[in-house]
Amino acid sequence: MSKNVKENAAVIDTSAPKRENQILATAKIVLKNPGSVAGIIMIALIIIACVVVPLVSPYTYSQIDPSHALQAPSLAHPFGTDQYGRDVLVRVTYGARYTLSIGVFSTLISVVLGVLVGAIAGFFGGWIDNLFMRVLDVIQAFPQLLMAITLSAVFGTGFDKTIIAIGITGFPAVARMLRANILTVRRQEYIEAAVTINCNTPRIIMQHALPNAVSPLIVQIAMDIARAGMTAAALSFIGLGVQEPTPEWGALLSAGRSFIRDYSYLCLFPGLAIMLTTLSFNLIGDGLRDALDPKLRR
Amino acid sequence: METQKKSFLSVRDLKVTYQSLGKTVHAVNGVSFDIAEGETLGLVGETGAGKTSTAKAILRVLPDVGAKIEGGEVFLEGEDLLKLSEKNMRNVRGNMISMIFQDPMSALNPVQTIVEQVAEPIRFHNQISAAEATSRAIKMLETVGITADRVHEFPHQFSGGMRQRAVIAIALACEPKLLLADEPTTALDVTIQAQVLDLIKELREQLNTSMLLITHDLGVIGEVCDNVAVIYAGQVVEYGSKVDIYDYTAHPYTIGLFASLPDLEKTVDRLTPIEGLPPDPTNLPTGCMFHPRCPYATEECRKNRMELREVAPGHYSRCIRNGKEG
Repeated sequence: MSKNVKENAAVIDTSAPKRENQILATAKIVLKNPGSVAGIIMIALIIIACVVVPLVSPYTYSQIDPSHALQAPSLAHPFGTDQYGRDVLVRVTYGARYTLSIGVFSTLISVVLGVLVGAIAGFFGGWIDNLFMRVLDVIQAFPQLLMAITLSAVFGTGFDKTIIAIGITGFPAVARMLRANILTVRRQEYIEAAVTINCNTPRIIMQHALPNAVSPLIVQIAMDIARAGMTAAALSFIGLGVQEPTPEWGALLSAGRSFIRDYSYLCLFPGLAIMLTTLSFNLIGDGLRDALDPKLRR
Repeated sequence: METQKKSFLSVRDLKVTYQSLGKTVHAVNGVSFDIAEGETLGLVGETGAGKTSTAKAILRVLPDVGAKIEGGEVFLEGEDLLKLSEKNMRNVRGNMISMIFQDPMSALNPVQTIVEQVAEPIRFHNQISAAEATSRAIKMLETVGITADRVHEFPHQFSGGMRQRAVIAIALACEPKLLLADEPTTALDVTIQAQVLDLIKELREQLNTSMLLITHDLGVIGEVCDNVAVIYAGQVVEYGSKVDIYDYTAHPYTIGLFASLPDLEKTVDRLTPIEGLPPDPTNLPTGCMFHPRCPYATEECRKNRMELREVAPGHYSRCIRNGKEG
């Protein structure tokens, strides 16, 4: 018996920290949620399609073929062709890489900026908090889309500039949410206890405050990717953002708009793609929220 | 006080105020006491009497918003902690002096494993590798009765008593010379209280640590302490050895405290409380702080602040009645 315990202890001593197990446990709960699983599968399919289809398809996204313009979906062109005879399937799947990466990278910018500002404002409070929050007030005084349009107009169009514009638009929401969480965490006794063992402030924020404040943020991130992708589509739709002939989904919608009466599939497929992607990320976000809610755990 | 030279921690005339909604809260109004090496001083008083503020002022970890140490001195081995630079103070916190918190449920970081949290102060104060800090932390946890197979668990997997053991392990991780225990057993079940008290007593003797034990439980004081300071409205009203306080109670407030305890041998319908409420710390009474509730209050009590008077060698009371008759 005692030998057993000792062996056990030795095994555990050398094992990796259990934090990984916590991530694993969260993942398990997410995988039990049918909605999240559907979302993950859909995103996976979209990513696979966006890699595979342009590779195997005989057409490229910018290959013009006037003799086959505006064809209805057929075996040769499953999603039909646009007014220049370009294959819509290839354009939609190729466009996924733009919409998705704008979504991911601009969310990354939002999160980095938001966490930095939110953590500092929430933890230190006082005039720092006031200063940061008033600046955010100003940014948030504009509707998000209007802000993104304004920033795009200032920075110019293009893939990278669109990412920056959407990232900046999104960060105040992240900062506010994190600040609110840090505010509640900061008054916890374990933060005070960390001070009494001589933990320095950056370490208190990184080790003790942030990890206890980020779970709602993780959910927010999943939803934000969808929101950023939609904003990107909206920007392209009105002619800012990513430009022709790059097949960003919003740009595809915008181009198909003039033919919507007779050739509705030009809008249908990019529209479906936007909808499915947004839905998938929202479903994943919902699943994550349930998994990270301690009341639903175990 | 004649133990001045031997005294290890010496708090003199400590004053702490808080600013709250434009009012000044006088939480600690000139607290003085001494703790000798290896000795345990019990700090007893009601909620809001200034016990925790005193402890936090010693470590200089009062909440930064509105709290201020107005005056006084805190000598640790002859050095005034209140005059130390923040940099030097870092050496004191967690290393020389550490603190045990009241509620083990909230004093541990929920997203770090127990062993990580015990290893943290060890790494701060020793130049050693993470692996060595971890192995020392595991040893410390074993000392407080947490087996090695549980140290990688998270706080929510521990019971209240085990969490308080972990909190104690964190406090003792660097073998501090002084332990500030802020109601370490208040949040625990009675049976667990006894275990934790025994543990604290045992470890304190083992490590020869001095301790300031904050509590409102006179039973806990009787169990663990050498000397007792009774604190009321931010002032020490009675100070002496355990025997002085329990058997030769001098101050009317302490008498009231004992009178309000239930007695195992007598059947009574109602306990005898001290009449009235503790004074409003934003608006302290004139004269003796206790006079509005004191059955013996005289005209003089209402007018003049009382000083601590020595009733017997080493036994002090802040009352006009004592010291006259002796």
